[in-house]
Amino acid sequence: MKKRAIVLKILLWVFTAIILLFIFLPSFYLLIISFEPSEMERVPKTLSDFSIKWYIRLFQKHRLPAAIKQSVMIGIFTALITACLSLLSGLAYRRLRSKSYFLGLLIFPIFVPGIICAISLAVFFKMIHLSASMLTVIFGHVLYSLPYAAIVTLVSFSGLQEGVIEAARDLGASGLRAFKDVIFPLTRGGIFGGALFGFLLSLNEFIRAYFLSGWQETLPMYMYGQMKGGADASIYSLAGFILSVSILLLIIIMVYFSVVRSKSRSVSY
Amino acid sequence: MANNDIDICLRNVNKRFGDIVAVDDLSLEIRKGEFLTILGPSGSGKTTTLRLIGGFEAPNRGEIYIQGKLSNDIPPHKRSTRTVFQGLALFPHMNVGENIEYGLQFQGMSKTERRVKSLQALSLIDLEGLYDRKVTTLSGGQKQRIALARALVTQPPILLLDEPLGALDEKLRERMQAELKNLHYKLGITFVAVTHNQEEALTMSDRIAIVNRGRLEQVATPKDLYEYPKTEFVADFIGVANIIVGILFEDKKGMKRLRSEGVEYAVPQQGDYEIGDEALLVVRPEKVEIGKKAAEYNNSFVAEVTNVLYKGSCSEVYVVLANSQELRIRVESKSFLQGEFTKRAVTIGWNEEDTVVLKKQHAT
Repeated sequence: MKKRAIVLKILLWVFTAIILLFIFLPSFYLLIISFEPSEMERVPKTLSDFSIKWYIRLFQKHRLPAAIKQSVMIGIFTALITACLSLLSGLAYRRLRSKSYFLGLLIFPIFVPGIICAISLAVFFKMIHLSASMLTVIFGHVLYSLPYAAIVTLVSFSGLQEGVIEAARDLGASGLRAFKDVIFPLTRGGIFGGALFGFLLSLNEFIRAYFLSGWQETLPMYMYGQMKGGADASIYSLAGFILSVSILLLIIIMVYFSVVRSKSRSVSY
Repeated sequence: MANNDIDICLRNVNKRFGDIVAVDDLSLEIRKGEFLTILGPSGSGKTTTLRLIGGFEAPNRGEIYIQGKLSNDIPPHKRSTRTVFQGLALFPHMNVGENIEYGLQFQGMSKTERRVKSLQALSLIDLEGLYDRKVTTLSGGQKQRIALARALVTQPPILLLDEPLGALDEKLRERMQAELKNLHYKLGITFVAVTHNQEEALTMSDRIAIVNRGRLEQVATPKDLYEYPKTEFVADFIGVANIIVGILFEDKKGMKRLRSEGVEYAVPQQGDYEIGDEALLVVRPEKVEIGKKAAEYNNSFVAEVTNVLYKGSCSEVYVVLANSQELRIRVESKSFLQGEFTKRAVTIGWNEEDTVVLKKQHAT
């Protein structure tokens, strides 16, 4: 029996490794071939062949910084708006009688295919004479990321013991004080999670940006353009660059949260 | 409402949630300084009633007076009540001291004053030294006391408790019952508690208000509720009762008696019932005697023992009369042993003045 358990355990790990490899290998492949100095798509033959030539070329491209800036700005605004809206849904959810209908409504946008959403929004904005710009992209991105952000936020709200808010009110706190003293400290993580979702989803979103953007393109749009328009090998370094930044950010966040978590055991409000 | 003796007055209060009527035309007066428990089964409206008093719900109809002031529209923190919530609702992200102090900051106290007060409170409830502990690391009993301290430190004249001992185990609950009663005595303020546990209510309260399906059945001292229940529900809910259903008639000597399934019982002559009424005879198990002495009573019958249950300090003897009427009798354990008595015929009897007759209420 024991032998069987070990075999199964090994199989499970192998299976997990295969899945993870399947997910990460393509991105890492891009990362590796971005160091190949020639125009060919291949892994550098020897270690001395590794070159950062395409990375240097990348930052000479004049359209790239603007696209990056645009994506980051849209991402930040999306994060802020999405965070606010998920916070509000969290507050509302507590009080609602028909909780499941509300949840259904919040999640509904997930079931609308991205391209249909993008096109209908474009038509809608045209109808109300709102010209395509950063604003319209933000709108589309908020609609896109809100369901995910709301779920994360709602989860942290559901961890709030019901009586806790009433206890604060009973003891004298106004609605605002109750929020500041009780609700916010306990749901901070979920709200931040919602913001994070908003930012990350927006950063990578292509289809809505494509249909709703004004003159200035976003980063995914730039990359799409490069792929279509016969780019040089700098697109691999771009992919490598994005991948590295994402991993770095992830590490920073994880470290931050593990430090904060161990600190919060002794912090007073 | 000018009566200074009454801290809380509910008048014809009605509360509905959608189609469900939680509180149905309820009127109740709670006296200053008393420990009143609202007792009832699940869904009886007792928690809703407490929430109405506390200001967490607004009545659909009726008035609520707190210390003489009409308070229907006054929010919780502006009322002179403080609530200890079911599940305690301590703030998990704050430590013990911060929890207790929380309400004090709205009373305009400085940080040092608040700290002093909460340290005092901690020593009062025997939890000195726990000021800096996170509340999530505490035991049920400790949390219970902190929740109490948090409410009491603001010195409210009225304390509302929603199932205060619900989360505690048996032994702890017994101790806390005594502690709560003691606390009430020391503080001298009004306590209003809600529970479904009748033993708890009987132990702690000065008076008990029994509610059923949103209606007030009876409000009286524990003793009066037990000895003189006014409705079938109360008779059945409080303690254990033998309830014999029958018709009242007049015997040859002009005395009222109850006939049920062919057996005639002597009943108290005074009471709110007439000849011809369908009525309930309530006989408490400990009022019935078994043995030779039982034959001397007006109500004495021969019965067969069907079961004897040993319960430590007492034993319960189940008997059945010739007409299949079952009765439950409670006696001191030293008199009865199970094996010996089951299936035996015994004489049982009781004094009719120890029983209560209630007119049968038909469903409205």
